Amino acid sequence: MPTSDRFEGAKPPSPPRLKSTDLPKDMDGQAVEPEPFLSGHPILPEDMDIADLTQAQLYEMNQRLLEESMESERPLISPPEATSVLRNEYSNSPDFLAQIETLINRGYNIIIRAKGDGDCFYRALAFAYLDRLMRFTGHSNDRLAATTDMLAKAGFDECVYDQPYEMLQSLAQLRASRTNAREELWQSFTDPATSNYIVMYMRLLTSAQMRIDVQFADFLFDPESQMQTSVDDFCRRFVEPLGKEADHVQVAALAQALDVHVKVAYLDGHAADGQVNFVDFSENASHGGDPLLLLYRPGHYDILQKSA
Amino acid sequence: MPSRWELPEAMQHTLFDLIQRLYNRTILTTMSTRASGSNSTALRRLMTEYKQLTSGGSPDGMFTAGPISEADFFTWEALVCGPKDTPFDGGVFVAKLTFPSDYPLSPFKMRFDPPLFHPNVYPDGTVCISILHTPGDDPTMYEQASERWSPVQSVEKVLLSVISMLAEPNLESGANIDCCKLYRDNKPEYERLVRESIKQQLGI
Repeated sequence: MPTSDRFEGAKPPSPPRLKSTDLPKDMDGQAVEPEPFLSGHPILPEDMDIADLTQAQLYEMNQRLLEESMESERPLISPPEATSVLRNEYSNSPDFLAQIETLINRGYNIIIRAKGDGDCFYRALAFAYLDRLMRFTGHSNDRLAATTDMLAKAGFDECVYDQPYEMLQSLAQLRASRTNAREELWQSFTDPATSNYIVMYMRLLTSAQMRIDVQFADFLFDPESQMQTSVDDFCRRFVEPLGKEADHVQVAALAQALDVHVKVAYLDGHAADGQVNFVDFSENASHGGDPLLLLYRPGHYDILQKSA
Repeated sequence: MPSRWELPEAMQHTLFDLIQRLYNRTILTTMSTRASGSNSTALRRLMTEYKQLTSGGSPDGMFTAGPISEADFFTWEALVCGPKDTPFDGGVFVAKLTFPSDYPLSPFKMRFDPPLFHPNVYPDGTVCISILHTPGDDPTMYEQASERWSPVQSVEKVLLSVISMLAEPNLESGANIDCCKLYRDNKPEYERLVRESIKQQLGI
């Protein structure tokens, strides 16, 4: 596994450690019994090894650090950049660099970054989806309109989804013919007041798809315990709350819910020959046209585009 | 869920009055004209939840909740009945709910006033329960299986969880450490103290 310590997001950060020597002096002498029934403190004492922690604790620490370490000044969705900018972030990792070249050579020239806040997959996919709706007039909004029925069928109260849906619909009405339509879309996605409701709607759709479509039931595992979990439990804990990262199964569910072909490029530094794995979701979606492209790097999703 | 809880007659009266007070307000109409800017989404959601609570009532009449004043829809008062077969039986507890401007993306805060003596209630009355925290906000490192805040939650769902919490404290994520200790080491004394505080509250 190639390392890239210099770069945030390339590798999960290690958990914080508190040296026992940093503890107040007055604790010396008297044995301070930890309160076993209060599992209070996310700090590792020096004499405790990370291997002693449970999967669950590690996951939680990771999630926490991810949230703390993300660059707070980065917009929720950044303006388009050349894919080549990624070279700067991986100058130390030849395997990653080779994969970046592969992407560029195959015409994937543009990257639109989503903030790494745990919502990146949902935000990136929603942006890519609306961006395409806007530019290709051949696409109808019918599928989007049908999603509210799906949410109702999955048992969600209308008051939960009606407002986020209205926001999404108003963005779906944007047409490229209008001046500054793309700018408007981007502005909406950088404004938390709109952007986070769009994320919320995407999460509800993902959850609804899993709840309605029985085939998902066999693939839902608690990322912490690796144990199989019920659909309801999985959705309530790992899909519906904002800030919970998406895994393969969430990607598959949302692609199906929106009925769009999603293609994810895996930039993971795993292939020495610079090959990039592409994984297709809902390849036979009735939406037609080119797939929505996402770029996956360990723990993070961005939008990828071919230059026009 | 705790089963239906019967109020003493005097208390039924008080509760009825308070419910009436909440019903009779014309908050919905006055507030809707003030909706503006970034919190209009939150306001609309709060109004819908309030409407649903007042029309449907709470399951088993275990609680009521609504805005304290017409001027501020983001601050509610909730009355929660102590569940039957617990030391809280017979008590009616007043809590203030404070909603953020991005509700329901972020959860509200709940604070009992006066504070409640309970392992999961901070000495200042603030309720510490996993459902009122987002996955990233984890003051006591709730166990992984615990339910977190999501926009799908609601005032009603949270209050029902709080009522369950009154019946079954969660010592894994305690907020009042003295209370946790007492509950663990001397439960009868804990129960006596709770009952005592309820008697005081009722002026018996």
